[in-house]
Amino acid sequence: MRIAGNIPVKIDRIVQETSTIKRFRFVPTEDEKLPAFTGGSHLKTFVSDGETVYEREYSLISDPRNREYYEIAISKDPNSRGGSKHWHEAMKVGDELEISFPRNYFPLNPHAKHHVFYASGIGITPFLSMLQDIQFEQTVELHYAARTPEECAFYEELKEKYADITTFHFSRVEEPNRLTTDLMKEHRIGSHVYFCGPVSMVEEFRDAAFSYGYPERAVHFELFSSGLDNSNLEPFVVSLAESGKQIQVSEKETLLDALLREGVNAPYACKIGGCGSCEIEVVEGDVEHRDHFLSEENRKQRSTILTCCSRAKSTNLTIKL
Amino acid sequence: MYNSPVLFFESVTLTEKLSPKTHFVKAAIICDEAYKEEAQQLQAQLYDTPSDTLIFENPADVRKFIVEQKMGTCFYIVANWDDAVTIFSTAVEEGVSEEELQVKTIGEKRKYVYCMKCFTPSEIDTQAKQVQCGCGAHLNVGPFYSKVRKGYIGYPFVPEAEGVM
Amino acid sequence: MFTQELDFKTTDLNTFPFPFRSDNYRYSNDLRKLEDTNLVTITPEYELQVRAKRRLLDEQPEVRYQSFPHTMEMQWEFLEMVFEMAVEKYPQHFELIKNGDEWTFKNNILKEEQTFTFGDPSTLPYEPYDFAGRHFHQDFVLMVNREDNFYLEIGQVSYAALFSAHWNTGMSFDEIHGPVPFVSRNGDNLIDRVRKFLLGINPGEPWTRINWNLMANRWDVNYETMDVWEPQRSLITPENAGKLVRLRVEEQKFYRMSRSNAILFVLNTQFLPLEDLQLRQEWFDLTYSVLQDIPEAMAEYKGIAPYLPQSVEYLRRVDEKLKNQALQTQEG
Repeated sequence: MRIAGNIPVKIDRIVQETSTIKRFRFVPTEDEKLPAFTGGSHLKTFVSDGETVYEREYSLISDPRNREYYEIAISKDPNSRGGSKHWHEAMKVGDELEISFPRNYFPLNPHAKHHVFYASGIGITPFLSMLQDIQFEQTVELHYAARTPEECAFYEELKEKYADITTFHFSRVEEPNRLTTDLMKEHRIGSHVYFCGPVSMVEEFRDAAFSYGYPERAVHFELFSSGLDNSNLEPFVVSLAESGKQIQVSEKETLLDALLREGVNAPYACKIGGCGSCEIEVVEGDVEHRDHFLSEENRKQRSTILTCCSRAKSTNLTIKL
Repeated sequence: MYNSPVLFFESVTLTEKLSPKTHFVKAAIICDEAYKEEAQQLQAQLYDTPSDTLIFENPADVRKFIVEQKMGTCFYIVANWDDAVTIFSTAVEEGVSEEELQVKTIGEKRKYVYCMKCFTPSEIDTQAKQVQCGCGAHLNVGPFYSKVRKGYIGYPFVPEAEGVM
Repeated sequence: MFTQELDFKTTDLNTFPFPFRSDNYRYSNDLRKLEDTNLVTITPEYELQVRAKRRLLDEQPEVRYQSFPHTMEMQWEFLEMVFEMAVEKYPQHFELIKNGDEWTFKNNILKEEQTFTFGDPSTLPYEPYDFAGRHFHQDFVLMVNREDNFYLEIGQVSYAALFSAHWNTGMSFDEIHGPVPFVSRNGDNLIDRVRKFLLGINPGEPWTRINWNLMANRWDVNYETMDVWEPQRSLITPENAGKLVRLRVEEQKFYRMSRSNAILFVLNTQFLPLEDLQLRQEWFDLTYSVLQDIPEAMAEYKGIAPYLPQSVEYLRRVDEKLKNQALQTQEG
């Protein structure tokens, strides 16, 4: 059984789910079995086109207890920086690659009486494993938005296995049933809501949930990428209050990159502003918050920065490290 | 869940005076018949926030009342300690979190110590720093509370060794 | 009843995880990436420690082992991991034969063999976690990640330092360490920092840190026996401290378990009597230097305040003797 490092696997099946979404299945090449995981987990894949190594995170969609193979689904992103394009155009059955252990930044809440999943497009992926991992006598419902049934990945599978708990919301059909936030007004006490989809959708649902009086702990979301505009970034200087060190952060790197480059033992995990692991206290200077983790209230109350994506508003920033 | 909130002596949900919690869009008030006035005072402070009130009679009605509420509701409880525990526990069982609860108890609160010699909880005077357990062990009442053991830790000690009887 | 006055210490100094690196070592979040990721280690004390651990588990099952009924799947994940680690590192000592779900585990050091059905707890004499843990000398505590905290859902604890599997079961990381706030020189809440760090630990990336304490003439100190060991601590004198006071080192390893979504805490506890510190002069010097400079609050927190002065006095006398000897050698 593997304990550390990455897991070598081989692609043994590829399914074209829709015109833009492919499903890939991995089997282990060295290990007897893969680690079981928990619903909502994702893994990192490492593939290379000979020049660039694409390190990308994808949600696992297979049964969390299935240790024979893993499955992921990848949408071909028109704005791809190369990762999803390479996966769609170059990867074929028999190709070998390394993957990380599964990790979970989007787990099911143990205290919920009822889970409600809101998915848009490829945002359906984490919910596919979560649906197979419901425990503690909890109930669940799924709301899934897509333009048409043809563009709706896993449509047949969901209809077959989860018809009674799934509502499809198609926007470009004769009688559209658009996904709107007011559904959340009707969830019973003890519900937890989960959002996955484009940044705009996640932010709309998150803000709506808070405006309907949902407590923060009942609202969960995952983003596939930071979704940030990384053009027009400005360099700045960060001062470390504890060591007295000063580090130059260029326009091409994140604050976290710069800290790690200089050998500073800075905490981090997801690197896309979603998990809060890299949160550091700010001693002096204003922060340009670019994460999705800190709420407006957090930003006002705690003087902190998520180093993996947020930056200094001006030229200098002092942090407690 | 074993780690679900419980109503204990220092619960964060306990308050001296009920007051509307911001953020929520609806209020659900559950009170003992005797403390109806408290509920009415709270209602006056809620202004436009819609609210439902239930006079506590039996646990089954409480459960029915709670599960009918929607997300965005804050629960306010005003009752004697034992009734408050019943209502609080039912709410938690139905998925209500501590953020969604405010509790005012009337009269004596209850406090328990968990004996580390005989592994049983027993009720103690809320001010007591040292007690003797039914099993004979002398206990210092510690600051740690266990939701699983349902009491504050009771550290065993030998009275002679500490010069205390 | 189990004797606490057990004459047990590390004999192979190379296996002793000496904790001090600079001479003002205090509390810090000194976590490092774990290099040897296999937690199984066989030291000369292996058999002694395992037998003592089993005796404690048998004599005080409620005190030493706790689990919740919903943890069975987590228990099998643990069993599989430690058995496979054992076989991989010490194939001469351990064997694991798999025939589908029919597994046979052999411990050749203890000359034991057990066949069981993986996934069926009724085929084992103890719960799977308890059974597996009884083959290794460490303590194993499984803290499950729920919301943004960790909860003790399984614990097998035979070397307690103000800890009890019975009492701490079901508690969060914060509840176990709170409400006593421990704040570093720059005002950080250390418990909070450690918890946040643990949240960032991923499967496949184990971490380690070393914790230390002193132990006065005992194997361990738990809440259940506080009435016994508390008065005993004041019986330590500068004359007997060399033998009775032991440097207690707890090498902690943290593994994120992917199915349990938990952090497995593996605690390797080793003891060295103060008198044995002289076997390595730099260990003696570092320990003496650290102990004479412990802040009051930390001594209280560690539970060593009643016998710390006697221990330091013992070390001072030894130090003086050693310096005099060195002086005489020079003069001679």
